Amino acid sequence: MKEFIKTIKDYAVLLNKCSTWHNSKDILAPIITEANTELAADCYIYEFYCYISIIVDLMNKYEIRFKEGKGAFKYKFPQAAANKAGKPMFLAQKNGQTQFQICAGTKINGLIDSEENHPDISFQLPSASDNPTHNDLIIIIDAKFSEQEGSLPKTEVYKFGMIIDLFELRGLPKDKIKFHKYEGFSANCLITNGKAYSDPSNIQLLQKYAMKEIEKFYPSNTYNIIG
Amino acid sequence: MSALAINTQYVDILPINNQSFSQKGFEGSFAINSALDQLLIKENDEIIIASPFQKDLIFISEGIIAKVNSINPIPPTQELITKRKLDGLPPPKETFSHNFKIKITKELETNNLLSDLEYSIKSVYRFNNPIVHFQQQFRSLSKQDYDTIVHGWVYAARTTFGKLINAIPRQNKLEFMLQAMDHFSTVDFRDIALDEGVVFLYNYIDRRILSRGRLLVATNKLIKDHLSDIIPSEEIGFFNPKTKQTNNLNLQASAFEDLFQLENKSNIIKFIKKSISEDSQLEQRFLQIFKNETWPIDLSI
Repeated sequence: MKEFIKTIKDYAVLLNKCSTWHNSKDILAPIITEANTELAADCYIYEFYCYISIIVDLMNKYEIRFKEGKGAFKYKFPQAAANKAGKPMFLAQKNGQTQFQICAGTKINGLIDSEENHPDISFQLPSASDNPTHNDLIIIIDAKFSEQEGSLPKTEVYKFGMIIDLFELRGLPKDKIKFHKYEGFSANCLITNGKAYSDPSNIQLLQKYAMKEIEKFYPSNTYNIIG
Repeated sequence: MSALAINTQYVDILPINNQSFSQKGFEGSFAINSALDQLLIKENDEIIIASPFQKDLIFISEGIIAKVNSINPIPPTQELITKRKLDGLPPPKETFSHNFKIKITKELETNNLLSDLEYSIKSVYRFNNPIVHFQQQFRSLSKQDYDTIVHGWVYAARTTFGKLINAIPRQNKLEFMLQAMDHFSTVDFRDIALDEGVVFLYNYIDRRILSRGRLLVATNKLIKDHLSDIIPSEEIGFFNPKTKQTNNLNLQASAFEDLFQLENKSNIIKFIKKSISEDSQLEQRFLQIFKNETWPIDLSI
């Protein structure tokens, strides 16, 4: 019983420390209500895990440089979608020449003025400015977290298809991104830790919108690419 | 009163022999000051000596009231009489010093901190600061609570549930309660067994909090292992434009690493289940004691 008491006390102290951000009052798992169901899938922690995983993979094929942000954003990434200016990002280079920019949660102006969007990860041309438009995009990736590890909802897949269309990304990418282990990610991708929406035997919808689904993407898991 | 706890922060225990009140065989005396001329403390009542210990309370020894020595009236001081008069208040009444002789019969050594027993003592319900229940010269104890303390008996299911639920932020506690109400079709949890509650709670924590922790640990490792040449890995994190809070990834991931290490060492949920089932007789005893009690969730923490 003595060991039980010690373990449960130690565990509670650590759980208390972990469940609120260490140096702020933000709670780690914001509550999900009917009014903010999107919050459930748009988890910045998962998005950042996907972003860093991809950066590390690209290191095998490119020289990766870090571009600092400004002020509070010097080494800190925005916790929610934001404008590109002053935010940190990574650059993929070859022989000192930037091949493309890899941005997290950046606002992109689309074909239709009112329809801006913030893909979780965007691959942008080296010439892309701080106010990028769809013309600066190579491919986009969205990350969707599912606590229940369920399937991607139909609405998410359709929405992503619509964004691809609004960004005019249904054709061949403007550049070929060379991945290493993640070969097959070089397309517009919807990544999830849960399951894909599409059946691997019927990928017509994914082909129509030039997209792929990557399922079960989570630490220590084996992921599948569909599309 | 058949049992009471005496807090040495408010009561001086004076030795008659040369022993300490933590030792078996100690004999000594103490006095309680009260506005009452009669206290319900009798000869042969069982006593527990408790003392503050860091931010906790330690139950040091058990014994008995060997004798009710005397009750001495204490007239109010002249200073107090004058002060009350100046304040326009009625004159103060006399108080009483109740003197007792005690004998210590046993030193307490097992699970004898209040933080060990807070979820096993029925009269404790302020889990944000359980010591308040003992912050007085003495308090009466039910026979059941007295036995729990002197034996260091722990209600494993309730302790697990309480320690875990009261460790998470209030927002998550409320969310958990709503989900549990829905899951168990109840509004007050009284009829739902605590060990079922523990499993549901652990699943909630795993799904909502630990799943994010695993991501933080993995991301931090990727940064440390691969990117530390190009970025100061310990500085990386998030900035929340809404709250203007800066959240450091490395610090949070380190805390989760410690948590997962503890989980791996003990396989926490199996370990808890084993501890709960280990002494089923004791759990049955506590089930009876806490029969009509709801789950120990303190929303003030």
